[in-house]
Amino acid sequence: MNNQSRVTAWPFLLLWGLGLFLSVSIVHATPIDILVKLSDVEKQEPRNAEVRFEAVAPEGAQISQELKKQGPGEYVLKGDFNLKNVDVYEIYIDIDNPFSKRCIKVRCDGFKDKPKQSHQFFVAKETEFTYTYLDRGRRYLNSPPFDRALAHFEIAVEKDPLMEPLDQYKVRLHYNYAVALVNSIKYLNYNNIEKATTIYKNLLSFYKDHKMFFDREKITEDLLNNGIKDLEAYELNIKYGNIRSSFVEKGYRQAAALAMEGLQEYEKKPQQFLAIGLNRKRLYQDALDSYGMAVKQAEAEGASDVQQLKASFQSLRDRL
Amino acid sequence: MNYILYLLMGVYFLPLLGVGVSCYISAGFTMEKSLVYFVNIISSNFMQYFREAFASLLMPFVTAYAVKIGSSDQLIPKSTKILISVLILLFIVSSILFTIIQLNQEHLEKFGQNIFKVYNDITSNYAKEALAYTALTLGVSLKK
Repeated sequence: MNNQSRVTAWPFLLLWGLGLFLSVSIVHATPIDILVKLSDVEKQEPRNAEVRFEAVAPEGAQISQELKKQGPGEYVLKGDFNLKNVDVYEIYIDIDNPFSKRCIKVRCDGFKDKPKQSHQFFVAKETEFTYTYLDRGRRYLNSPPFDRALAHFEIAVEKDPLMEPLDQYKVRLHYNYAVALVNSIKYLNYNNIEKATTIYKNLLSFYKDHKMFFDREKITEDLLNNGIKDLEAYELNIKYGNIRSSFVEKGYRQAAALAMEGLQEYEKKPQQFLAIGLNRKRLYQDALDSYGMAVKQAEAEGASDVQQLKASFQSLRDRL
Repeated sequence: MNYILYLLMGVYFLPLLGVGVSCYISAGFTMEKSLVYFVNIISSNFMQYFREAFASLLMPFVTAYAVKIGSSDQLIPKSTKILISVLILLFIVSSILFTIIQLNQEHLEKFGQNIFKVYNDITSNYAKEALAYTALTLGVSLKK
């Protein structure tokens, strides 16, 4: 009799265990998998270093994890972290002299699209920073791997910040560094928009007093202004592209709030919104759809803000 | 005689002229100009292989113009005065260029290839030599 009950209890116990395991995995953590390949800029040979992953979890907890060495210049991170709402993580490369240490900030949008991420990072060596060095960097600029040019210019920028006394070298260096940053934003998902914008603005601030250096480099005021505008458009695209993704993930309140914020911003800089294909009507429609769905969601959940959401929805509909 | 002397001096001091011109056209070495590299290549070869030979060619000419100064009111020949003036002018130019190069070391180092050192050596050596030739012309070395 005892043996019989044990036999019938086994499948239930197994199912219960499996259910418990799955629920813990889904609710508490996101499995992430990061692969880092590290090489030097000049020879593109693998280099060894200490590679660390850092991110701030939504509840404010700092996650810091050393990547495990897998082979020469190859590091992996496999872990279950609560990173669902983390938008940016950082990779620290701690390497011995003469190579330069790096900190790379990567946009991951909560690891929604790619829970598995692989990167090829480069480290540059201390050397003589000359016009020839900059010309070599320009050859790396427009073809992958884009991080190569970034690492190449990054180490030179640390030695020669953009300040007086200015010369053609500094203008060439910082402009090309800004281009490398823009490439890293577009092709590698690095979180460098602010950094690149600051460099363009700094270059602009020197433009009138040192026009001859800019002329020699064929850098015009328009080129710098367009660089800033492109970056602003890119930032808007990332920010308001989240309206759609929030809506799809049933984050209707968040989508509605973003659309409303977008409407306010639109009044300040309509041209930039139009440049990324967002107009007032579209933002109104997004806000209206999101509020409509948010009302339904709140009613289904019995949430306390139903009336508030309804009022917002009604006011928007009236305005349309 | 004068023609040969000034022709030789012109060639001898050519690197200094090159430094001066490249300093001017590169706006104090703040702009990348190919002349800066060109003068560097020419001058380093010149300094390495020909400068001493040129100096030994110049020496007899300068000595020929030298005067023994017996008293302070002694009449100095016009050609000697001109030579001394030219040499002093070259000393002043070398000294000014030396100062400019020192002040613009940061910009010059961006050209690489040891250019700062070559330019620094040219200006300091020519300043010293212009003074030495001035002394020689005044007859210091012939003083008994």
